[in-house]
Amino acid sequence: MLNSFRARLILVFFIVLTLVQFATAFSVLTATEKDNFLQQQKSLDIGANVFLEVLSNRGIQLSQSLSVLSADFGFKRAIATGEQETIESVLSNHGSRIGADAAVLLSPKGELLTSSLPGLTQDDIQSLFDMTSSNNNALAILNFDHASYQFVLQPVKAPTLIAWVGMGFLLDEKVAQQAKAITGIDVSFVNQATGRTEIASTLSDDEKLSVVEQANKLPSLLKMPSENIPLDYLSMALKLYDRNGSQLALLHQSNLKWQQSYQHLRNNMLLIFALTLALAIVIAIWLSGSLTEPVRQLVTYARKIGQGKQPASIQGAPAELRVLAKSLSLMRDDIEAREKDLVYQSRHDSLTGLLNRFAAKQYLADLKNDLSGAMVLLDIKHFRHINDIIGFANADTLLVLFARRLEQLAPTPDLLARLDGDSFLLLYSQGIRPEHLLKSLDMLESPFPIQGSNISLTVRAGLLEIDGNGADIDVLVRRAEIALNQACLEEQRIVSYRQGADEKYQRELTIIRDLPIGLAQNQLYLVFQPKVDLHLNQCTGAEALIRWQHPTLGFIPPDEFIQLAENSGNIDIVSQWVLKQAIQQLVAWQQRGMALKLAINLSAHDLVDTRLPNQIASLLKDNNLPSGALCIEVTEGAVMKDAQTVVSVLQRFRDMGVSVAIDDFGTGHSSLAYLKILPVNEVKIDRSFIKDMLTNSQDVMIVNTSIQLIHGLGFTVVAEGVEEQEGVDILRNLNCDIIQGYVFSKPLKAAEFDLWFEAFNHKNPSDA
Amino acid sequence: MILNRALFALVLSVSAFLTPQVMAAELNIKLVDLQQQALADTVVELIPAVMPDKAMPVGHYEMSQKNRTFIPFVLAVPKGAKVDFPNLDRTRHHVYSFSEAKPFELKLYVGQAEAPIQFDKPGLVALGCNIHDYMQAFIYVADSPIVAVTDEKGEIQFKDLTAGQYKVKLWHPWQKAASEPTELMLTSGANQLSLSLDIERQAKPSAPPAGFGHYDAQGKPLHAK
Repeated sequence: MLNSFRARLILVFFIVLTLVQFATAFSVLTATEKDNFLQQQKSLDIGANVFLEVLSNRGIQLSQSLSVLSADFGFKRAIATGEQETIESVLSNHGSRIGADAAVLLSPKGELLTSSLPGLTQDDIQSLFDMTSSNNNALAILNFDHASYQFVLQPVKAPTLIAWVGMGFLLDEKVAQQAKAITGIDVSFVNQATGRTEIASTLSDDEKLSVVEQANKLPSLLKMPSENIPLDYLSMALKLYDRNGSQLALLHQSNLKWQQSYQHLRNNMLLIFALTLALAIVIAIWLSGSLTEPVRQLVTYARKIGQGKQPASIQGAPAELRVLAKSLSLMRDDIEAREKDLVYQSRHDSLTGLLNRFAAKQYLADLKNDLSGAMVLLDIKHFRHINDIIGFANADTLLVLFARRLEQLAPTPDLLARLDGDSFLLLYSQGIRPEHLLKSLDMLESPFPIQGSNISLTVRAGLLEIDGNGADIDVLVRRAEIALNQACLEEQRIVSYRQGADEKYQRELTIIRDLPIGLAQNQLYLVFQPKVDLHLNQCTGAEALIRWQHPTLGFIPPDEFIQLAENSGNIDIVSQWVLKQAIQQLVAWQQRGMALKLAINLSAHDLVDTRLPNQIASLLKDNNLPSGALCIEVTEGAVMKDAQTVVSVLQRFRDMGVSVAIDDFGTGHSSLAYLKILPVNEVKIDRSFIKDMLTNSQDVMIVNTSIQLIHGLGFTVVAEGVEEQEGVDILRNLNCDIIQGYVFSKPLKAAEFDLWFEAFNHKNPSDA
Repeated sequence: MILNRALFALVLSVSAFLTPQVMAAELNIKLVDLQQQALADTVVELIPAVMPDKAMPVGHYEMSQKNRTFIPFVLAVPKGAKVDFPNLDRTRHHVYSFSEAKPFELKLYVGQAEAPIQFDKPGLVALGCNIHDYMQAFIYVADSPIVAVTDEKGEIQFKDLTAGQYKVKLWHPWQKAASEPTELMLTSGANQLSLSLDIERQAKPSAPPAGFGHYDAQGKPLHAK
């Protein structure tokens, strides 16, 4: 409940107001109370002064009355004559004249002569006399028999002082009432002379009782007024003449007047407090309502916006909240815009604005079963090269222009996307006829104006007819890519996907992927095919050939995986593996006493590696092998890739003493001029010439001419692929130096080769 | 009372040439208070050791009332003397005394002389007026015929005294205490005597201004506060 803004606001209003009101009330009431007390005290002080004046005046008045009495000749005469009877009757008579309650006669020296109060002693009268005889205006109070008398003394002169006459007047309630009538405050006369407390007072009986009950506290009132004796009165005490007991005059200032005004003030303040509080709460409720209602509206508004709705704007809310609502609305718009932007960006290529690979796949996936027609993948040939030439910025411009042209193609593709780099996907749901596609390519290949120059592109297209059997999108795209790759490889403008190409492609991928693993796991191995020297009729060397028994694909022809390794850039690890295996084999043969020259095949890639000769030299040296034990076989094609480097590398080999052989002589498009500059030791005539030699006389002629030529250049001639004894005979006649072929042995594993070698060389001992 | 004896300073100077044949002695007394102020209205009574046989002539004495005042303030008379109370005012006086020596009342009407009053008993008679409370006077009735009151200068001269032993008695209405008689040896010729007395000086009773006024018991006017 208190969590609500409204409740808190009301509570805060309530607390603040209450605190302020209480603080005000407290200070005002305290000040008033203090002021009241001071006023009361002041009033009491004034009353006390007046009271004393009243008593004093009364004394003077009584004194004057008495002086008249004392001057009476008869009175004087009676006293002068000293007749006791007369004196007493005179005292009584004159006393009653002025209303005295007691009368005494003293000698001129103050000795008590006669008293109307039976039992009054000289002691009682002495101090009274001492005080009053010198100052007859002094307030003289005599205690007698629990009663207080105000006494006045007058000398009796005839004409010399013959006596003192004293008259006493009771301080009773009547006197108190008279004093009250003048002073306006209540008066009590208290006599505590004999331990008992006698009181004559203007107070009510209850109040008198209260005073009597607190008799022991009365002396304290002399010093400090009290508010409790009796209740609701501020009382102070005045010391009346006091010799042998306490005789006090108590003055009681009723605080009724101030209490009433105080209560009136307090009630007024309470009323004001109640009213303001009620008003404040009403205001707080109204105010909080006017604040919380718009906030509630805002909450609803925000919730609707969160749900993506477009709520009506809030009416009548404070400006701040309206701004907040507007901000929320704007925020939603911004978020929507950004979301759109994000979606767009996630679906489009940022450069060309075409759909990206993700969006394209999504599009195709959405079509799924309805997918039909033709899918075309376009690739700009050598785009990387172009990129290098014209720079990235210009290449980007080119791509954008290219994309714009794609959009203008006719027929218009149903889907147009940039998959990556320079690869674009087009979908023709109605299919496209090759001539239309060709026309499109023509249009795309027309020059682009970039930075003032015209750039022409060559575009390859891979075309995939979609059979509409709900094929996997990835498969479709891959097949189109395969077709495109094919187009690139085959230098064709358009290649349609051929059935099975995908499977071949998959196999090639597997081979490329598994080749390093196969090398590491010794799935590959070397076999050795003997080379037989016709002159010696002895096996003097062998060619190391690589074999791969793949765990799942089975035997993989070396041409296939070597080609793939070359294409995928893995050929160097193959060459290194072969080199190491060959060296090991040579070491093994050397230990057996088999002096053989082992030939290994190096690719064009290996031959441009200028570090290779040194590596091989140190390998041979490390294994204590003569450099003549190794032969490098290279194809003509390999030499022609980078003739200058290859020639220098081969030169290094030959300088080292390593033999160099030209493989597959006669099949490449090489010129004879190479033979002149190549630093080789032997030339191997390709098997294609040897194979049909027995039936084709032209081949014999070519072989014969080749042998003549090769011998002419000073190289050793090797014939490959000899399968029949007749072939051996012909070649012997043609003066061929070395023969390699099934006629002697197929390529053998190392152990079998060793056995064959033992047997062959033993059977055909070299001519001594 | 004993104290007061010390207050007497007796200085006696005897004249150089005394003639026993002449026999007469003269006494000059000077009275001062303790502040050495001349003290008037002091009664000096000389009591001879031996009372003379022959009766001294008794003089005529007056205590007049003039301007509502007794004149003189102090009157010393030998016992048996008669005193007249002439009323010189235009107001009535009611002279009274409650003194033991001579209680009396004398209503004195204007212009009407009353018979003189004889004072037989020695003692002090305080006089008052019942009409005018402030009026006060004293008549000293002496045993001895040799009695007088000091004048304004505080002086008394006694002539034709017999040389010999005397007692000197002093009285003053304002005296603080009664004094004991002092012995005095009178020689022939002039004798000088200086005496002092401790008194409390007061105003002499006198009439208040004429007209109505309010007065306290002592006859002093009450002034408005």
